[in-house]
Amino acid sequence: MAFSGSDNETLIWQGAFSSVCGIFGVTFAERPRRNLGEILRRALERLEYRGYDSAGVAVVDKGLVVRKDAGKVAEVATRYGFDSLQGVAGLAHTRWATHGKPDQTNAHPHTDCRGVIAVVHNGIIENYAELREELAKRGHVFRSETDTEVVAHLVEEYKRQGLDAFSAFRKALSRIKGAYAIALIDADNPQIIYFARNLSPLIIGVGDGFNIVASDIPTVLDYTGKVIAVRDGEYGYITPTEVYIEADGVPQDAARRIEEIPWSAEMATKGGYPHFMLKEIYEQPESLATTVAGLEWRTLEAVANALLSARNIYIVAAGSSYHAGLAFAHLLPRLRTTPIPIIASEYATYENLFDKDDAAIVISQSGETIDTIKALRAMRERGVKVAAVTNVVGSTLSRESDVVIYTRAGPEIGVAATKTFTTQVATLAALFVAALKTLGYDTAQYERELKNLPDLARKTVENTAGTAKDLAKRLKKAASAYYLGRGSAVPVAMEGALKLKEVAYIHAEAYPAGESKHGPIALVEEGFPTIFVFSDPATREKTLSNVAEMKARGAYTIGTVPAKSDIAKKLDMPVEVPDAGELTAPILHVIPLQLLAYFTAVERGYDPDKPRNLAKTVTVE
Amino acid sequence: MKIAPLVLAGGRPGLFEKLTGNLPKTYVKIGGKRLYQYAADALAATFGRVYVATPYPEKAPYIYTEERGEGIEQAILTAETYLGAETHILLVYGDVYVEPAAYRTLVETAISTGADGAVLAVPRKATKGYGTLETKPGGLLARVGGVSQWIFGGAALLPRDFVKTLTHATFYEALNQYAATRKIAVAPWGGVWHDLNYPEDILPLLEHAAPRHTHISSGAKVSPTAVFEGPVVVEEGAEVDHYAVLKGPVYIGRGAFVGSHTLIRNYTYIEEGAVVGNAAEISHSLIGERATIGRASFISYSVVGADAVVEPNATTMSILREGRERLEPIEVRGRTYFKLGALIPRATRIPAGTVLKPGTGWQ
Repeated sequence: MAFSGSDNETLIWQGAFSSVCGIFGVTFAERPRRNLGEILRRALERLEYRGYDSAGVAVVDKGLVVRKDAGKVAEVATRYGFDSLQGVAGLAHTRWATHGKPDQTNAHPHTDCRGVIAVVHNGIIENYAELREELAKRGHVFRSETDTEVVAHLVEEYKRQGLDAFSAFRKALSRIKGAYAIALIDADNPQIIYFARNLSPLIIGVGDGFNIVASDIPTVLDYTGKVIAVRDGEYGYITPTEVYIEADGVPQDAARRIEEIPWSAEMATKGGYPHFMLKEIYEQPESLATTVAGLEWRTLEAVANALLSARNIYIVAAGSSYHAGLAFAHLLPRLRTTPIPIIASEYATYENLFDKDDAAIVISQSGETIDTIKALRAMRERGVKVAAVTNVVGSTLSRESDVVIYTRAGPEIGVAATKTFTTQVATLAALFVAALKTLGYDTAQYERELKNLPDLARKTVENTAGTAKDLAKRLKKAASAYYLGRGSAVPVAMEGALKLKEVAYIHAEAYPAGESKHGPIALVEEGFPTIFVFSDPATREKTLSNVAEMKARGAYTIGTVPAKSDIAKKLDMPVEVPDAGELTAPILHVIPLQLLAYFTAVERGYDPDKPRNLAKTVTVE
Repeated sequence: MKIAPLVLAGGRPGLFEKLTGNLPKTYVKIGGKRLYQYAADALAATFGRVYVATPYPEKAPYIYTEERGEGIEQAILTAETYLGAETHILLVYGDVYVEPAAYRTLVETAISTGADGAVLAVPRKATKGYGTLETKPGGLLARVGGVSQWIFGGAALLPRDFVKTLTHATFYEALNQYAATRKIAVAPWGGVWHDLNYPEDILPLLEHAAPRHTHISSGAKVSPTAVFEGPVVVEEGAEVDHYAVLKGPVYIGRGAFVGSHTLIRNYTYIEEGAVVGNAAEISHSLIGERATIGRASFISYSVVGADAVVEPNATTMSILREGRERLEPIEVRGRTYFKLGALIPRATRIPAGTVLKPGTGWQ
């Protein structure tokens, strides 16, 4: 495909940087006082922020026992009685699906043919397809669709060829390419856990009579403050009394690298960030890179074709996803089609329109938003063809739609959508490009824009944070704010206003700037904060006239403006955003608005990760 | 790796000379503690020990490393010779006030990203060269000094061998050289962070460092008719006389005296041994050690140096006509003000009845 530009390096970086999957392994000299299963369950609860679509454990006692399934940790642990499992060594894994939907078969740990070797993995094994083919030819039977399972079979294969377990593990590593943190257990050597790291995080916890491997520090801190950070390219094993690390066949001095962490798991931060919201805003360049690199152009073109030949196009979503939908809706008139954007909970108004000649784009980060699912079912009942845009593989939305387009933002913990919103907008922008292509237009310019997007997003996070922080000091005392824009800037303004409401609890309203003089302007008085979004190049001049109107009434005018333009001078406080093309500008312009909401919440003393009255996924009507 | 926390407490006093004399600005005392001790105490509580680089060692539970020569580079090089088996240095500027969680953030970011070290990044609109941090994919430091609104937050976790670079390079140059070959993670910090560049910066710090709870030491003498509202700390040997009204957060240092009928308003610190005469009113100010505020004086948004004497009936005016650099607007009952009283240098005397115009004495 012409556009693919699928840049695996970026894909690998994503695996390393934004947490996807959590792994844990522990080996005891003798059966621990608390059941091993309970220790594994507690570790899974700590790691749940790294992925929460499935969970599983493997314990070695007399032979290997594996229990796993799709679902949240608490559900799976109760269903399979994790707490009653006994043993001396075990593995645990909490999953965020990348290869294969979340179900029992695809959940980790994965085993070899004999059920002796179990493996858990965080990351991506790029060359798994060829390895799988090779191993299948040698008679190995694969059960799952995951990339991880090849590791178990590779080790089994080399053991069968006569190597000892560690040599087999080492040889297996030499065959795999990609980003990984791996922990592997072999019932033939019950108290040894083999591990390896390449780009995905892995920590060793050094205990008295036990040792641990885990994806993060807090999980280890429950049991020991002594940790060793495994470096890229290193591998080795732990026994209850020994830590052995090797790099390129050369043993490393593990003892010298022990770090004492003098604080408890409760005091630890979340992977080093004071708040998930900041972490998720900050890692948008990476999640956008993964999303752009992982675009499936054939699927996008198929969806574009369906849209272009439909009688009506519905765009259905709720909350931030709805704003992403509106950003897409603003592009469609250029294709001479008129979309009908529908707020999911309001679908009944349009129900009579739904017909088999229609097509719909249904957007939900979690894929479980009840209002959106209800709308989806009503449309499907009447034969509307539905394409889903979701971040969660195997979600209800993905299962019940005709086609699924995945955003690749990774798990999002902060209740306020940030990286999931920008990856939705990027994905839908790509869908628009696919539609242009289908119609035979030259899309080179837009494709370049998408390719430059991650870098420009990094520059935006870097170059707007200070201004956003300053503005937050001013905004924290405001009772109310307006967010105004024209054209494709309107959905950006709506998203910015929603963020401020959600986390900073300040009343904020978004309006098309031109509409603001038909009523809203009556509220404006001296110092009233008004935030203008200048992401749409076509409407800049007209928006400027609204700035003048607001200024004349004493409003304090803030604006996200393209860098090096004259617009900055017309505002009390401009926030300069790199000048991208019109397609990706909405993504860049929303970043300072996210930062503004975050810093305002912090200035006002609120926890932006836990806004009152809100849940991440709304599953009740 | 083992971490050696190191607070850089040396340096020239610069504009703080009026308050600290020859001592570095990190020696200004707020709430019974020197500024650098806020970082040192937080680090000692976490790591069990802390090194403090300064030419002016004091009696305190820290390991003081003598400072030779000029600049932080020399301070770090000297301090390194004091270290034991530690493999990493957690470097902290003594003139930065930050929540202790920031130090944990730094260590956890370095370890969980598998980087060799980490630098704390705080959001700030800055001019070029102000320690701006540019990043590259993976949240790693690309270079210091480029275009960015994340600046170096005065805290870094660095491998001990980094120190060698400082023999022939400045700290920022050394970071750049290091980042070119090794992985330095950038840890963004969104919480409380405050650095002291100018004496005016003390005023907002009075809010950050304010007492959160009321504590009256057993050896303090508080009159039964004194009124406390909000968090008030009264240290050993201090005396609060009849009908004094203390509207917290307020700090009264060891052996200080607060006269009868005084009104001590929020964000006021009366340091050790200071005396406030009767019927004086003090708001949002730092009264240095052993300073005297005469009867019926009014002190607002001001800093009074140690051993200074403000004679009776002196007034500091504090409402400015318009804002000035580094001052944040203050909102009172819906109106916005800019407030800056006076900086009264240490051991000076303000004659009775003096009226000091807003902004007197700062520079």
